[in-house]
Amino acid sequence: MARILVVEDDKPINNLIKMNLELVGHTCVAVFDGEAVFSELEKQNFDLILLDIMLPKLDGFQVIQQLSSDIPVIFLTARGVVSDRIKGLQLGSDDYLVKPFDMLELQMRIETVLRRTQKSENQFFLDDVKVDLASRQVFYKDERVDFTPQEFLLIETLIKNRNIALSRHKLLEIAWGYDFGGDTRTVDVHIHNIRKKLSWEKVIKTVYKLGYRLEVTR
Amino acid sequence: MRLKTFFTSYFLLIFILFITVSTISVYMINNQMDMLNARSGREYQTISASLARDLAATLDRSHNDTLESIMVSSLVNAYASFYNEHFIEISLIDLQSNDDVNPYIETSFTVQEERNFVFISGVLPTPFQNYRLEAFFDMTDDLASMKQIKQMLLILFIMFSIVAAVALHLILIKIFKPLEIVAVASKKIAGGEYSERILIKGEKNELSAVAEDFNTMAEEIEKQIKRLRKEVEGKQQFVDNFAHEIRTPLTSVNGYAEYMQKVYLKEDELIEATQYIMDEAKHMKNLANSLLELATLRNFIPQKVMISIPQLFEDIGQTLKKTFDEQKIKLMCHTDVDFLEAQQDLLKSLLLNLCFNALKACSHGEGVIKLEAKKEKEKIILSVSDNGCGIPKESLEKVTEPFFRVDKARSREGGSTGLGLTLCGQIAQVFDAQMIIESEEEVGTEVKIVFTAL
Repeated sequence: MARILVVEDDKPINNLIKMNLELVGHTCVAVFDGEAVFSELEKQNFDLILLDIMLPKLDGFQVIQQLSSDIPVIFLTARGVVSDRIKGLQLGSDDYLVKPFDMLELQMRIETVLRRTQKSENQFFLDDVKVDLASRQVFYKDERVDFTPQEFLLIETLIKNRNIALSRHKLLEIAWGYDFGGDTRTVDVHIHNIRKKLSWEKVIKTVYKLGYRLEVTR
Repeated sequence: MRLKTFFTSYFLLIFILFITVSTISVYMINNQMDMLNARSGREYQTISASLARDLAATLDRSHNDTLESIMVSSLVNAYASFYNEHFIEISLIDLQSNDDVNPYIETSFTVQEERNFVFISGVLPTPFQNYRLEAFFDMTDDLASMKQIKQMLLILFIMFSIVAAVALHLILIKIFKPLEIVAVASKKIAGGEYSERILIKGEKNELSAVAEDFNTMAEEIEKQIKRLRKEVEGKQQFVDNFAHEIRTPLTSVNGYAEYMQKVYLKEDELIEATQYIMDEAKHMKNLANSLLELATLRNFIPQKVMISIPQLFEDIGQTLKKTFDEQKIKLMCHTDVDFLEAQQDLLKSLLLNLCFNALKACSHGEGVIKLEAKKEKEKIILSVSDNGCGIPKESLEKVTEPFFRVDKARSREGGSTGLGLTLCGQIAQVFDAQMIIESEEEVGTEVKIVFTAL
């Protein structure tokens, strides 16, 4: 999984982002001002930087201008003015997200940027199951299991958002691409199939009144 | 406007000139006619007298005391041929009797064969009353010269009219030029170029005064527009900042709540998440309270009472004691003033706010905060000074702006809303006092509240 540098001066938000990203398997380092970005970059490499704009010492625009490496950057900011968005994108950021944002949305955008820079996770292992995300194949005890394309999209969504409960609507929206309420029982049927094929009865948990969660030990 | 002025003044000028010229010409012609009349009259008298004398001589030489008509007519013919050379035609008429004779001389103008004459007729002096002398004086040449003068006058009048029109036009252009400049400038200002001014040159007159007034007006407009723009910008800034200020805690509240709902949490994680939610909610509450306070203060008229300053300082000392002791910061109070007219709660909140600011500035140990009251030039000054980190020069002007933070990272801790100094400034305004902030980095800050009225 990716190594992500979170630059955000507001401690609660920084912590929240860190918690969420670590949940799905990323490694995060939190810094609280613009100058710390460079000292942290000297110590280790990162696959992505989440950058706030209003920062002490050096603001986000200054930071991105002084970045020498081509690490992808996503701006995270409360400044939603169009001119700021344009400036952010012009300066070479890969995406721009305005607060308050949805954590799932942040994860999806991170995933998109990582896929583009080929830093995305290719394989997922859990006990006897191996999922090859690149070749879209699923193995159980080293044997290939037949998955319909829709089932694969569903298991991919669950893996990318592991440890987070996803509502049936959200799953329909992400895995099926419906952005209106479809028949939520479709989701139940597909979940049932996946559970049976991989004996994941305990791994995919039903969350009361909410939906499903793929649980991976943290 | 210019055209109107041109036509009005031009026609007035031409009218007056016309009246003058025609009056002069009428007067001249009348005068000339009178002169001609008088001259003819004199000549007639001379002719009539000399004719009478010659007739008398002829009578003396005659044999029978009577005039023979043949002699009279030869005499008259001689006269007529002589005067004919002088353009005078005369004739003598024998009236045969002395009765019913009109003794007066009659004068009149006649035209014959396109020539003008003065015709005079009258009887000869006694004893020749029975003879009527009639004379035609030819005036054609005199009248022609008069006509010539009249024509000359007319030509002069027309030429003058043209010259006057051109001159008037040029003069008006010169006179109206400043007005045109003013018109151009005001059009520019109306179009939004508020920095437009009129260049005033030459001597002072009414128009340069207008231009000066115009410039003053333009300056005032520019100033007002700038002020309005600044105000609008300030308001926009406030809204932007406020949105940021409210979004940040909302993001965490929403995010943590979502996290709690969707993720299986251990107990310590649960406590951490809920703590963040509560902290952020508290922060928003503080923000709402401060905003409400600011809003109420805007049109607030305080009920002032006499406040004992030593009492107030002791009060503040009590409130702050615990916090200050914890952070090992010394508070020193000193006052030369016993009483001040103000409202207790507001004044206390103002000083407390300033003290807390000073406290934050002194976060790195050895802090001394002085709370003072003194009298300078009949004005009471309350001051709060510290030996803390100070405020950078470029930020000094902005510290009273809402949500302005010298160091964004540090200020958000400890529940600061970013409205503290704005509130202080607003409270000072309520008391008609002035808030003056003096600061030097790494040396300290002094905030003075100068009360203008005692």
